[in-house]
Amino acid sequence: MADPANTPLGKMLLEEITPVVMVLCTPLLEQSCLKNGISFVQMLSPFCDFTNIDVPVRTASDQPYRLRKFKLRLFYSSDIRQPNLEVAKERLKQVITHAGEKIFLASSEPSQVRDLLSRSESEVLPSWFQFFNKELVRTLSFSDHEAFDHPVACLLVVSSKDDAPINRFVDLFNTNKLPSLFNDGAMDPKILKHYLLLHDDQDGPLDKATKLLSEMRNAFGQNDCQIVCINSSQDGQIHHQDNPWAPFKPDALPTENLGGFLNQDDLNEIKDFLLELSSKHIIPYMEQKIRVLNQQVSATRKGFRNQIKNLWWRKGKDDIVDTTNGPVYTFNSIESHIRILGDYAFMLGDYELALSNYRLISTDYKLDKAWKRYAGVQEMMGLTYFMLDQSRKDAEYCMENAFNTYLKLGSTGRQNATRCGLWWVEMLKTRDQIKEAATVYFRICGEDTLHSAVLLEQASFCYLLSKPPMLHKYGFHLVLSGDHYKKCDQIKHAIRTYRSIMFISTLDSGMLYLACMMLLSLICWMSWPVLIS
Amino acid sequence: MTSTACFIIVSRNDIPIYEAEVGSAAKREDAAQLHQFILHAALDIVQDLAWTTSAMFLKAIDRFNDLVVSVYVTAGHILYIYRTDLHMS
Repeated sequence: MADPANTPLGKMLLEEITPVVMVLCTPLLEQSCLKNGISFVQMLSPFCDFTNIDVPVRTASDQPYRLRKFKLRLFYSSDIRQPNLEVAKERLKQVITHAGEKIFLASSEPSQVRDLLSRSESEVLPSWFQFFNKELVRTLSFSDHEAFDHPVACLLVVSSKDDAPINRFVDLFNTNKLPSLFNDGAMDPKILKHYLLLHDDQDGPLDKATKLLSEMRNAFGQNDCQIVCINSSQDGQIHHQDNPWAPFKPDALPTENLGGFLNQDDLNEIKDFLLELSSKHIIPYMEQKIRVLNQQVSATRKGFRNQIKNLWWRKGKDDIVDTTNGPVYTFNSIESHIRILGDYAFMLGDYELALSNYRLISTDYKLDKAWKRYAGVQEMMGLTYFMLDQSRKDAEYCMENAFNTYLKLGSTGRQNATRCGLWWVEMLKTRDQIKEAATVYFRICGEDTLHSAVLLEQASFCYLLSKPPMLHKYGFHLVLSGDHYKKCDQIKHAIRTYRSIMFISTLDSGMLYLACMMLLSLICWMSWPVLIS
Repeated sequence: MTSTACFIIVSRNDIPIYEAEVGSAAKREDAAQLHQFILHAALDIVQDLAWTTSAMFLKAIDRFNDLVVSVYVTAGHILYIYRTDLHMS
């Protein structure tokens, strides 16, 4: 099998499960950035993805290895909370409706299935499926039972125009405004802090800023402060051919010139700053934390005696508080430490270490009946097996286990089950187990009719792409999907799916054909006002 | 016990010859065509499976939610397909 990191699931994981940096900045700073039409986080985001960072990393063992791919995710502190489900659903609905309009206007005749079968997978699948899946996965960010979304570092940014910048830095880290993850004990509030002074060249010369920088260095430490200049262009008319900010600001107008004040020197300074932040601060910090936690864990958990002690005398521990939702673990408990250890190891590419730690807490959570955390760990174990390209059966068993456990939790676990299912499906597709993937798509479908419709359509494509192609199943799932689309008033999508079935040439038998004709005419008759508008 | 079974005879080229609904449970409006679709979808699996075994009665070859599909293949490849509820053995 190909290298796991190059498969679609591998790429998805390397983009989504990466260290988070929380950004705290002042309003004056945002103003300087908005001159370019983008916010501070949007300005830095295109440069956070390193394909060949080439940093030596030494985790638990004595052998260092070189880390190649690395990515940071930047978020404002106000965004570090569980996304509002209603808002996310509304956004997904907009995407689907928009895609429906576009396809309806563009399509002439749906191609014969024979043509579809000869094309490759990427040409056949509608492009918005990927976006839909990604958004559905993202509705679960920043939950407390998983540590890969908890911020690893905090970047405090102040503009050189701000008065009393040192005080501003201190104010920014005011605990009242920090995300709830910090305040309710889910994560350790003591994280790596880095201080950045942003100088807008339009405001004047650099000397005042450099003086401020030396004051900052005296206050906060020599290594933790930096200065970056932006807006060096005089007239603000710089056109960037490749427009790196386009994916991060999807609602920008085509005529808007993003980054007009940033010349090449500014971009280079930003790139250098991010490279230094990652390689000299964040990665060593994570390494250090892994080593410390690993020593702690080895002392208390590894070894025969410790394991027996843990199994027998598990009840009555102080760090675990029993609530109605199951045990709540604070960040001080050893289980949370092991979870952080596993997640950091995963993010730094040391999958063996991650796996051994996940296995360790998996039994603990099961004994404590902390089902959500148990499912979370099983999910990560499945993904780690996949990235290690070992033991397919174990990977699938873990994902199935996680999926079933989330479902057993009822409505609290529904979204998590969806995400787990989507990752599981990608794993099966990579391993060419397309029919199993289709059954999993079917299992993910739940009460939400619109999401079920899209997932059923994805399942139908799985059947189409399996070898040999299962055209009857393809047709059947398209009918189901069209039915769901109709229930959600997405008439254009419904018509599109029903039309596709009519062109399956093996179904001249008439049974399916007649049913589709009947349904299609019914829909056309009912939605005639919609269509002619 | 209330149960329904849906029974279809399909000839060689996927043309249905006969269709019947057996059972005492009340028919539901939306499930009317669903039975036909389920049995039709099972054709994919039957066609592959029929060549791999010499047995004529293939039990429980496909499932949909709680419905089980079984098929009897004759020598001339005429398929007798029926669908039952899960609790029927």
